[in-house]
Amino acid sequence: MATWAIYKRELKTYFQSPSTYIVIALIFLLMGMIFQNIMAEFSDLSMRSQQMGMWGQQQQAPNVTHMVIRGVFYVMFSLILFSIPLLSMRLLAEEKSRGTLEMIVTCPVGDWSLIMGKYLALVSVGVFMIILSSLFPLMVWYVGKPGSVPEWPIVGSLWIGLLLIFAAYSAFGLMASSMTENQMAAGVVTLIGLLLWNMMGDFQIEQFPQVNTILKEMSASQHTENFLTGVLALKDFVFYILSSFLFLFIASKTLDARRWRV
Amino acid sequence: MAVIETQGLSKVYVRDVIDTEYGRLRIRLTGRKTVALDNLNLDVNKGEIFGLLGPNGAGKTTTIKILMGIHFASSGTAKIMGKPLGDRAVKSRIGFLPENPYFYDYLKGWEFLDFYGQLYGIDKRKRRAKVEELLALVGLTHAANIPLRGYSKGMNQRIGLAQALMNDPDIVFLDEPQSGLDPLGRKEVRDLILGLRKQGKTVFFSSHILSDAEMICDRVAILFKGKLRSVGRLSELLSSSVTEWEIVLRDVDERFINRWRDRLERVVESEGEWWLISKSQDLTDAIIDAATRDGGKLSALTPRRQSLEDYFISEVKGS
Ligand SMILES: Nc1ncnc2c1ncn2[C@@H]1O[C@H](COP(=O)(O)OP(=O)(O)OP(=O)(O)O)[C@@H](O)[C@H]1O
Ligand SMILES: [Mg+2]
Repeated sequence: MATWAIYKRELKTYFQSPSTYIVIALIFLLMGMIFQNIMAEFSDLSMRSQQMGMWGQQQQAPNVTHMVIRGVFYVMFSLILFSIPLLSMRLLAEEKSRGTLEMIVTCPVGDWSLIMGKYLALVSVGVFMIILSSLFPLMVWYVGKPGSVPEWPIVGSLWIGLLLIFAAYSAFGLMASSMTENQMAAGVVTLIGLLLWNMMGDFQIEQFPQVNTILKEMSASQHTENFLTGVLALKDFVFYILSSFLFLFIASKTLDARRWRV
Repeated sequence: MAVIETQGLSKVYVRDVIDTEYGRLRIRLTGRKTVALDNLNLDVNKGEIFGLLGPNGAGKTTTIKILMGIHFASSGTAKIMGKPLGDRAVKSRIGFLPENPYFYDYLKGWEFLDFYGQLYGIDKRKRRAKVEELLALVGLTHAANIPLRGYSKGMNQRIGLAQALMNDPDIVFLDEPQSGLDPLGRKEVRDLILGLRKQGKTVFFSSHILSDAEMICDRVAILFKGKLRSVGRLSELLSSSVTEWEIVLRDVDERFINRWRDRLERVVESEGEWWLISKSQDLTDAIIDAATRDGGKLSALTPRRQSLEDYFISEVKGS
C-alpha cells in the first residue's frame, strides 16, 4: 500500500518533469540517427548482394535483425548507461536535502517499501522507453522488404536484456542517491560506477588469472553480450537480478545508518 | 500514565569530514562533534499538553527527531506508548509536524494530504472525508487545489498541521507549530491544540515563544544547551517566584490604608474598592488580617507571578 503510494507519486514526478522528456528525446534522437544510417547501409548492401546474385555469385544476403535492429539496440544499451544517472540522481538525494524524507520516515512505512516504490517507478520509466524502442523493429517490419522481416525472438531477447540492465543500473543509481544529499554527486558517482562496472573485465592482471576471470564474470558488459546475440542464459538473469537486490539492500542500509550520524 | 518516556537520552552529532557549510566546501578533521542533547529524562502523561521550551540551539528539534525515529540517539533509551522507538504500530498512531515543513511542492494541497493518508494505509473513501475535514479545520479549504509551491509560509504551516493529524493520531508532535504565523494564526493554532486535548490526545510541542506555551501548556520542560533545566507544571515552576500580590479590599477606610501606605508598592482607590500591590507574602498576610479584624472585606487576592518569559531568562542566565 505505502509502496504503491510512493510508486504513483514518483512516477507522476517523472512524467511531470521536463528532464525526463529531454533524456528520452535525446536517446531516441540519437537512436533514430543511427537507425537511419544503418538502414541506408543495409539497403545498399542488400541491393549489391541482389546484383551479385544476378551475376550468379552466391553471397549471403545481409540480415536485417542482425545488422539493423541489433545495431540500434546496441546503441540503446550504451545510452541507457548515460541516461540512468540523470534519472536516478534525485530519487533519494532530493528528499534528503529537502527534508521530505524525514516526514516519510515518521509514517509507518519501512525503508524497504520506500526504496521499492522509488525503484519500481524508475524501472517503469525504463519499460516505457523499451516500449518506445519497439518503434524501430516495427518500422523495419513495416517497410517489409523480403528478407527484412525482423526475427522476433531475437528482438524479444534484446528487450528482456534491456529491461534487466535498466533495472540493475537503476538499482545502482538509487544506491548512489541514498549516499548523499547532493544530486550532482549522486549522478557523477552513478556514471563513474556504471562505467567501471562495465570496464571491470578489461583490467587484466598478469599474475592472477583467477582474479581476471572473476573480474570478467562480474563486469556488466560480459553479461550484456549474450543478450545482444539473442541468447537468454539463466546466469545472466541471475547476475542482473542479484546485482539489483544487492544495490537496493545497500541503499536501505545506507538510509538506516545515516540516522546514527546526523 | 506516561505515554512518552526518555531515559538518559543523549545525542552527539558528527559532521562529515567533507562537508558543505553555507554552500562552501569544508574539510574538517577536528571539532566535528556537537553535543546537542545531554542525558534527558522526561515523562509525558497521557492527555496533557507538554511544552518543550528553550532558546535556539537548545536541542528541542533534536529531541523530537529522536522520538520520531528520524535520528538515533547516541545513548539512552526512549519509549512511546510503552514501546521502543521505531515500532510500526506506534508510528501509525502518532502525528508529526516538522520544524521546517518542506513538501513536494508540485502536489496540490489535497493531493499532499491524500498521499500521507495512503502512507498510513487509510482507504480511499475515508481519506477523502478526512482531507476535507482537515482542510476545513486549518482553514485551507479555498487552497485545496493550489499546488504547494504557491503556498505562503503560514499556509505551509497549516497544511503541515493538517498532515500531522491525517491519521487521527493519539500523540501529536509539533516542532514550533506557531512559527511563521500571524497573531490570528497563532491563536487558531492555540485553539486547535486545546481542541486536540479535549479529544483526549497528547500534544508534545516545542517553542521558544513563551507566551504561546504559557497559555496552553499543562507542563513544560526547559531545555538549555542540551540539558534539562527544569520540568513541571507551569504554576509550580513559577510559584516559587511570585513577585507581587494584588489585594482588593472593600469596606475599609482611608485611615486604615494610610497605616500601610509606606510599605505598599501602589495604592489606588476606585468605586469604593482599594487596590493594593504588595511585594511580600508577610505584608500581604498582615494587611488581610488587619483588614478583616477592622470589618473590611477581601474581594480579591491575586498573586502576580513572574511571567514565563522572566523565568526563562533568569534560568538561562543562571547557568
Ligand atoms: N544535523 C546536524 N548536524 C550537526 N549538528 C547539528 C545538527 N542538527 C542540529 N545540530 C546542532 O545541535 C544543537 C541543537 O540543535 P536543535 O536543532 O536541536 O536546536 P533547537 O532547540 O531545535 O533550536 P531552534 O529553536 O533554533 O530550532 C545545535 O547546536 C545545532 O547546531
Ligand atoms: Mg528547532
